[in-house]
Amino acid sequence: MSFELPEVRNPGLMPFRFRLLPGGRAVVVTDLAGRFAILSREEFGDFVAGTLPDDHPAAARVRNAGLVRSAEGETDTVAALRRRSEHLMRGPGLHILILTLRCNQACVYCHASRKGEGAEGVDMSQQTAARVLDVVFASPSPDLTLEFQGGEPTLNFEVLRFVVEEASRRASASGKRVFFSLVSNLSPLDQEKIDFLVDHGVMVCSSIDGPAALHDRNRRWSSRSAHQATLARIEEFRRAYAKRGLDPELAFVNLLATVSRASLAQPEALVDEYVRLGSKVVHLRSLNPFGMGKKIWAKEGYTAEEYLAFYRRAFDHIVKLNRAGVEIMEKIAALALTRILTDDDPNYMDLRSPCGAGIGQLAYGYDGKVYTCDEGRMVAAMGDPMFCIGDVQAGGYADIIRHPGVRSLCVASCLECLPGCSDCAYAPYCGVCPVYNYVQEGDLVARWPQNDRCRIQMGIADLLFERLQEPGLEPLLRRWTINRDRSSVYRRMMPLTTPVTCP
Amino acid sequence: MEISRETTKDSIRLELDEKLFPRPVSVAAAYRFLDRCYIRLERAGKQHLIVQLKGKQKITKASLECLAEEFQNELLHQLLRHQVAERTAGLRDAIVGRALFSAEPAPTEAASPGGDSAGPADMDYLDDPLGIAVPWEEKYGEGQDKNGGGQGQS
Ligand code: SF4
Ligand code: SF4
Repeated sequence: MSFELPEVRNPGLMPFRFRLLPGGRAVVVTDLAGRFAILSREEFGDFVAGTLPDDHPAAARVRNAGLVRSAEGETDTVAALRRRSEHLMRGPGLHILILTLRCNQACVYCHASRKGEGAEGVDMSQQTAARVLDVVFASPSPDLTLEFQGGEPTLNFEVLRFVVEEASRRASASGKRVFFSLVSNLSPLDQEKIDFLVDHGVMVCSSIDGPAALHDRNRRWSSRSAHQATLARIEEFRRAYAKRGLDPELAFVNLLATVSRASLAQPEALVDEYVRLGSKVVHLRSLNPFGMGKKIWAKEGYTAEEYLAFYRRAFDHIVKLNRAGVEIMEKIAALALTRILTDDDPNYMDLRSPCGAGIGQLAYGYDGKVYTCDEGRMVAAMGDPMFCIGDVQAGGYADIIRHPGVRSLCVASCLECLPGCSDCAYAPYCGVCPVYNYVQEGDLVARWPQNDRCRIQMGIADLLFERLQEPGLEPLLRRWTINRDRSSVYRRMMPLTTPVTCP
Repeated sequence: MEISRETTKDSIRLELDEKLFPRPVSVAAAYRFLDRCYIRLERAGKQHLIVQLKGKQKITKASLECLAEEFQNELLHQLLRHQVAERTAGLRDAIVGRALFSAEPAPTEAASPGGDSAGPADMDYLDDPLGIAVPWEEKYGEGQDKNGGGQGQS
């Protein structure tokens, strides 16, 4: 929908960006720090023309959003910007260890690097893991999250055990805080391993793609039901947490749903399955094209518009459940709302500027090769080592972090300086992914009008701003931004936003 | 006219006004076509650049026209990218510089055996302290171990 900026005649405006919401009636106006006001078209015209009366309710909204110049307002904006940019001060805190490429299941959307359960030479050795820890502990970040991924990482449990014990020892010696997270389908775990994970405060994340039929269609496991196996393990974790007297509100297995083509028709059933399992969060992750052949994408993939139609239905269903007293939220929306409604910096690697590649996270292949992020590793698995920035066997942290690839991705994801994004009203809430752009367009910088990731982010932000205008909905959605302190269960507070990429 | 076009049997020539499309913009746009075309750049007069796109495979006139349209879209993208990069250079340096500075190793790591001595305070994000951009032969001479620059850990 075309929309011309009325002539700006108000000299008292702070820098702002704006977007006309679908439907053409309301305009979202955001300041540099992401504070916002939603105005009607007429109010917006008066705002930029300087003819909005001081006692008009919209005038209060623009003042509160810091859109009108004042000495106090400028100080507030700077303070808000600083709080929202804390990720710039941290250094790499997230370290993803690919313990093995082996997996006992075969998901329809799984990336190219997965190998069969019996494959040889694709497990991380203890010696490599020790070298990885040398690099991890050289990061200047005082908080370190070690995330175990694969393949199915629990198939190399002895190295997982080694890393947890050795990292805990090094953490006490160095004064750093270490946090562990495991991304697993859970099926290879037995009671002893579950006890180890619970006793060592390892946060566990698994996948439930929806009701049994949908989950088992997506996540193939010879003739067995992956859904049943995951549910059985979740129950065992529940019992293990309860046995130790841990609060079930804080100690639980995090769940994530990967949305495949088959999910598109059943958003309500997917959400209802999460409610049935007692989960308070559902994360509706869209498929990404990394490592997926064109044939698989043609079968399992979808357009941004198809995903957004699915997402809107799921979102509205969740809101309906909330209104009926059921406590559940959607994680992508919760992250965006945290950025929209608060000055907190959730430090989610893919929704920040610059993104976390290298400067916020590092991914370590089973063989010790280091990548800007796990997605960069997947590109390497497709045969292009573009995002490989070192090798723990051949160099230290300084070599890795000063690799030119880190700088390139940092510049390419600084969205304040990118065409399209620098003028986008949603820039304060958004993040771009140079690896995605590279895979899709052969260029680290996207052509936004043809970029599905941008369309999805913009579509979700549009939806949230549309819903924020509805009477009574803002307080309900504000509850989604509350980040509960789970430090009594895990070694340090689990940020709501710790990035996870369940297999 | 900012862009004029001329089609021959197997190629298309676009003449670009460099006042509107600075040379780095046209070159970046042309570069994107390397996989599909043979590219020829020619100066025309003081302020025009001619870009000739010649299909690597046999190509129809309609496909050539299509290539030219695509090239013009790419020109727009590169022009905007160039303009935004110029307009926001100071902001980019501040943000990227801060992010890279925060990721710099603690002094013990940077000064560990085999490490470089450049501390974070001396660093600019465009610096190349490890000489990564320096050709291998120049950096180490011949006959050295490839991992010779490897760094010990603190
Ligand atoms: S990626 Fe798209 S939605 Fe996000 S800031 Fe850029 S233009 Fe806006
Ligand atoms: S490059 Fe993409 S996947 Fe990697 S950290 Fe950045 S946003 Fe995330």
